[in-house]
Amino acid sequence: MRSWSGRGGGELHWVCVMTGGSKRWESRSPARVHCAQLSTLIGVGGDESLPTGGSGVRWSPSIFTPEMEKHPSFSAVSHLLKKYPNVGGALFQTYNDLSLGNSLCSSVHLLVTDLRRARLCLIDGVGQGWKDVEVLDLQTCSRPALKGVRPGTDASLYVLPCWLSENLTMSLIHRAFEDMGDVQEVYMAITAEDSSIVYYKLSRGLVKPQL
Amino acid sequence: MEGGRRVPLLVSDKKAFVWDIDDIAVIRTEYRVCGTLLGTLPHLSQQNVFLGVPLVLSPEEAVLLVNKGFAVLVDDPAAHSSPELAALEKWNLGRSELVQSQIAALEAKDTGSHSKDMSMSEKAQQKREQREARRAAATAIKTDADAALSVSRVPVQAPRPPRTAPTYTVIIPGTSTSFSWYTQEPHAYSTIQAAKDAGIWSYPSDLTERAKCAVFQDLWEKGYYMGGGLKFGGDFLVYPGDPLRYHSHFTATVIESPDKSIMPMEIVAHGRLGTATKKTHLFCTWDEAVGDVSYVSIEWAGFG
Repeated sequence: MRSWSGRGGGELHWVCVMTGGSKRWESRSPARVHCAQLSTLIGVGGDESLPTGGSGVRWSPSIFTPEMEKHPSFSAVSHLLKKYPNVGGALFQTYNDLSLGNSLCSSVHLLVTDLRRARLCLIDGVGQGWKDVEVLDLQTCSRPALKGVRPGTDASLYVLPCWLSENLTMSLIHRAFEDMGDVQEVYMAITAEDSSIVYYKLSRGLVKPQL
Repeated sequence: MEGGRRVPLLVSDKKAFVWDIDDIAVIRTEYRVCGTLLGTLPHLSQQNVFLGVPLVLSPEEAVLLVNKGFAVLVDDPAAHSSPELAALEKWNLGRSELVQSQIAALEAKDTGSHSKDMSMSEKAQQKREQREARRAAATAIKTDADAALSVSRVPVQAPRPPRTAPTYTVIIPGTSTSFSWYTQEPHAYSTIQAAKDAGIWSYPSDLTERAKCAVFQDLWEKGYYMGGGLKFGGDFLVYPGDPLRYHSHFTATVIESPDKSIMPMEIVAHGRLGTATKKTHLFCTWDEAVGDVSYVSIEWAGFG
């Protein structure tokens, strides 16, 4: 779960700003910004050059909606965003959360001072850090899904994204198991519009709890 | 159980009760159905951890036992007919004989302890006399006077306790089988449908209840013991063995149909609760078209 600094009236949500002339990013209250939060943000352009971050945090420039195609993750998921408009957002959030690195970074300090110089950034270092993240198109259940390798393991894990507000059925889940190659385990990524994401493991049959 | 005795489940107000202790033992040890004890223990009435008869069965438990041929449903109120005068008189005579024998036993105990008291005071008297004699002998030597008169005492009887009205216990039997006006056989139903037709039973009556019965039966056939799921937010608790010996591994929630709408929040809530209590939460789906139960185990992923 990520902390959320507060959602505005729908216009400007969270903005990373470089204060006038300085090369430091500051804020009044420490907050960890998750990349998925940026998926709901609206950006304002600017053209100051961005600093290189310290402590293992990689910064990459990105201007989000209305120029969403400039988001680094966009190309990976774009073909399915159109095909599955209802769950495109959930797919996008989950893709970002899985792909971004999970290096332990310190809190990012951010300050909104000058909106004219605002620029949105994709901040790495706060995701799950999965490798070889692939986007799948499940035929029978007509939904997108994801596949990847968890850090520290070898096996591929399958992830089914959905919204918290959706209606699911057990027959859909059953079809998802089959579509993903008759696997025994599927992870459900449940996303919310405030960018919270939780993962639950669904296994076929009666699986005893881990000791 | 071919040709064996079927356990009578005494139905009252559409609930199945068992009052006979041996039947309760058979249901638990042979048929793996636990039920819930409801009765207060007279000797320990200020607690509800240890309870006594009757055992009440959940509707799914009763349905399973009847469907498997292990038990019959008995219309208990109808099994008690109005007793004839002669039968009532005989019963009353039997009760007063019981009361008399209790009083007699009490009295015998009373006199017995009475003579015990007497012998005690006799011993005390003897000791006192010995002491007197020794003291008298001592003073006789000292004073050289006439030997002190050893006062011989007539043993005095300890006064009897005053007679009060006799008290006795009224015993109420746990089962009605000892009454001559109680007959089970004509009012026993060996199928659920027969009991429903007779108007004494109505479970299962809709898809949700049929799904619960089907899931209960399927888990039972896999060898599990089931308990009530209220404490852990599910329909059943599923134990690998007798609940007195094991903690449950699973909490089961029954999904009545593969097309029933499920909110992701249910997955979150059940999964998180299960993981927090070291259990796996099972979503058990009943597919009535195929007659099949399928299971999905839910737990928190451990990341995110």
